[in-house]
Amino acid sequence: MSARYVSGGGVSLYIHVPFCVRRCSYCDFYSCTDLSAREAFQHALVRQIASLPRPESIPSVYFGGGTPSLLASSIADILDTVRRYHTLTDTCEITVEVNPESFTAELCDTWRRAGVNRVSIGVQSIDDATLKTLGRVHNADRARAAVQLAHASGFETSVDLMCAIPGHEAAFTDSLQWAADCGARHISVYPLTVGEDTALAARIQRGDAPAPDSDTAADQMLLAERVLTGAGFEHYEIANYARPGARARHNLRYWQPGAGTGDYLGLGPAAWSMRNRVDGGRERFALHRTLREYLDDQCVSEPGVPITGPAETGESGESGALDGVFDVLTAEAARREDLMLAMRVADGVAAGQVQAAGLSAVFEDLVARGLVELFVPDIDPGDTSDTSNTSNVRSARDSGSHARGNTRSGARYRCTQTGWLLGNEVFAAILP
Amino acid sequence: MTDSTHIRNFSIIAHIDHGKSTLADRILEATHTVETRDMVEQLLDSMDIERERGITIKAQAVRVLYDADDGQRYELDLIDTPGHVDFTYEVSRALAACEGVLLVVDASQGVEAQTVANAMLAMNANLEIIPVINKIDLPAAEPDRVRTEIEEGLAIPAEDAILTSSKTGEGVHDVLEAIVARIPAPAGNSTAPARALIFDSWFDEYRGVIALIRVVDGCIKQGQSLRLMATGVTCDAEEVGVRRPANQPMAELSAGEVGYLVTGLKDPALVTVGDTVTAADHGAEIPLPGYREIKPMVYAGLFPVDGDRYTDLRDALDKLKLNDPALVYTPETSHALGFGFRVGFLGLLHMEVIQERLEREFDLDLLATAPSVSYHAHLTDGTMLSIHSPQDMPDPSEMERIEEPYLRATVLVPPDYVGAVMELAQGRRATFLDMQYLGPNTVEMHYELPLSELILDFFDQLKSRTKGYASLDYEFSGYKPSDLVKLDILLAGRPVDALSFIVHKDKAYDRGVILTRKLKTIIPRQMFELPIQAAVGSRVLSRTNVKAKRKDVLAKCYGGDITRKRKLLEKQKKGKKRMKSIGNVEVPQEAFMAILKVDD
Repeated sequence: MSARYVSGGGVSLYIHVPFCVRRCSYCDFYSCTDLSAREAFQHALVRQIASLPRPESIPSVYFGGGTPSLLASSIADILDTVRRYHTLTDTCEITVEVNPESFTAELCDTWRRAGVNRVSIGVQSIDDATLKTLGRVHNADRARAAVQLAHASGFETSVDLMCAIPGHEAAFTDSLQWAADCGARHISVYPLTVGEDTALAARIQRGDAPAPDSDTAADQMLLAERVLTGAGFEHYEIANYARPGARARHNLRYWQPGAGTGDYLGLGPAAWSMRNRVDGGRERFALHRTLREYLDDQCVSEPGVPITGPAETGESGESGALDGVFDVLTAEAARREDLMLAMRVADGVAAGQVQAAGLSAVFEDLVARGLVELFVPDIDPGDTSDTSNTSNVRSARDSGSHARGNTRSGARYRCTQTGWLLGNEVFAAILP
Repeated sequence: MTDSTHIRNFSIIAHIDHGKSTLADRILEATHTVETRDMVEQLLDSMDIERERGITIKAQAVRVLYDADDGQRYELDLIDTPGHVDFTYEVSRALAACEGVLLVVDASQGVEAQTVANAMLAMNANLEIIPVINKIDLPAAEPDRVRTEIEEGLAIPAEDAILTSSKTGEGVHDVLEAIVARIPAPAGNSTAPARALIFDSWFDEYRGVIALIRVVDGCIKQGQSLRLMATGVTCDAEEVGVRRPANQPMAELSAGEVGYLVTGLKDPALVTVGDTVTAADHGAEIPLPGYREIKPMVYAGLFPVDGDRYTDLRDALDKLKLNDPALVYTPETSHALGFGFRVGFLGLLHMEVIQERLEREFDLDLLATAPSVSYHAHLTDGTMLSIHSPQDMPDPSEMERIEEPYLRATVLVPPDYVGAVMELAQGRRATFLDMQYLGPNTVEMHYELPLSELILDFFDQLKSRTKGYASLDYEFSGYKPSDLVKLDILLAGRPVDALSFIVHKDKAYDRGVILTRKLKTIIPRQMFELPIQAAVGSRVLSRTNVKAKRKDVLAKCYGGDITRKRKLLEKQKKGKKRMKSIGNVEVPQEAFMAILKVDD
């Protein structure tokens, strides 16, 4: 790795698989429905992995999309390449996002053997009418079967649910109850977000479909918290619930990106990378916006040319050195971003870290507004995340063990329930 | 000394966008006053705002030398004037410095309200009027129709109207010849005591106040001691000369000439448009006619969004006033908005221009309250109070009566839209006076209406209801008693002084309902439920609620979302800085202007 980056915490890999059988009605993520380019994509990806400078170690790999399950058994080939050129940690979390319709028993075997140990299944709902509105390919039976299969194959399983879908509010309660009981140890609940320039956005614009309502979203997010925490899940991030020990470790790197713990490289088109610099600054970059750019890139087609980050000249903002997008943060900006992201997580941030950033007054104001609370965890969860003490953090909140105005070591700030729902108020206060 | 028989002083008058400034540009080119390579569009409009908006705010004078077809050389003094109704007085003074005008009419648009208003000013000043039908290169040009409109509508003979295209330069030579042949040389007594009319002035950092003058009698010599008759101030003529368009010093300016005068005075308020300059010793006894003190028509509160920038705002206003004596302001304190100024303007355009210049040239973020007019409160003790701000409105029990300013408005419109204009006027407490046909395609309608109704979105409404065909002009007609009340807006139960306004009693209820409804759409959802009420005294007329916001977060936030999300939040936060926190309610700038858009 280049000397300008912090080392020690390993570098995670995010691999973006930009293919979908068809676009969902609400989704504006980058993907293409022409599946014929899959082979070229795999070749390019393999070459890119081979040409990466050797990172210290890789603590997690995440295949996201798009629809990664469309790569089928090629996932194993890709992981073989990663292993051939790089070192995975012993406890490496390897997740593949799965759409129920393209998940089969045969695939499970292949993936298990290749080391995949976690699947995140895009169930969204177990109501067929809801799935139809969303433009999903699968139906409820298929979703149930996929979850069963994942369990039978021994994967750590996560289920995605969507709430506040106009016209389908009532069905959410059933989906939620099912998810709590289905055996998955991790559940994500997102209110429907209608992307710009999507089919659903156009229907809403024309008045042919009702627009999502933020009050309903609040109601259903609160309902999810009630049902899932009641069923023994920990609400550990705004939209994420886990049984003890089942937090998504890869995703936590996004929210706790501090130096030495959060670096990741995004491979494939429209995938973002993040590197912490030794000067305390941070770089975020997406090297290729489209599949075409990705395939055309000299760096990709000529093995041996490293893709590690943007050109050294990038000062701030967006630079045109490559076709991608660069976001360069100063040390000060990175500190604030750390706080902003960490407030998404139940562990919150250490009061000392807030003080060091000169934001104590800002946080006290947020406390006064009921958006943030100060608490002392039974056991200090430290900077990173996934330890078995997470249930203790939860109980600290439940028992209301506050330490108001107390900055003694161990005191932390976290969002209240209201603060999470009005997260933008909290985040905007933290940003310059 | 110039032979006055070879001087022609003229001005160009027109409705907005009929091509006044471009015709001036062509004249400067045709006379080689400015070489083509140095030419910029609207050369005489030196302010950015003038160029961008295509308007003239400051008067200008430029001398061009023209070798006419008769083989003789003439000095033509072109005086460029503001065209807008806000600046009617300045126009009238500029016209008083001329013997003739070019009346420019767009060949497709025809006669419009400001054409009429400006032509009237020229006629009242007994000026020779040369009709110029411009933009004949346009496909929609109808010079014959426009000729008829000028003759029938304005009673100005138009058989000799000159057809021009400022774009191609066609007809510009004819215009120059007509100026020489038809506009009389200046009269004036070169041996009488000196009298010169000030028709504009500006402040130069190094030289003090510089005035544009027209010498009527005698002459003004370099170095001479002078007296300004209205203000009684004396000064020395540090320099006199003509503008070509750069200053060209002369030994003297004699009767009939137009030029500049460097007064050396440091206070622009002493050098007022319309004043007469004479010699300090043995000067003239009687000033030139027509001097008037400038009175603002419209008042609004201006507050810095960032309260710390109050002194910056004061300094900026002080600076603008140097070149704009019509600008008046006094400190004002608002509970809601903090420290600011109550600023008086000549009209709405003047207000917009000032606000834009303050924000642009001085990098200020401003909150403007809705403009109001100057009301006259006659108190029971017999005294009269000028009310420039709703906050100053006395208790009804202390008032014998209250009066508001009225206008006589002229609307020119195609016959098809007469009904639409009548409907609008009826809703605005306007009294119909009369109407007449200016030709088959144009009806001239006269109304008397309160100024307060006119500043309430009247012009935009008129334009939209007549598909843009109507044009408007107006003049102040006097004060009349009116049944007026102060309407307060309450946010979260507390009156917000900056949202109060004065309204006719019969309209208070409707305006209250419309405004609370409108504010509901403008004020973003807060963390708590927010009641909005409209009230007169203790009587609540209407009420709405802005529901509390309950969810405002991007629930899905992974590696690819972070940059976009952070930038979005940073941008929103900047936007919020343009909002004003009143108590704990965040109110966007738009809210303070919502009062003006009542007919949406």
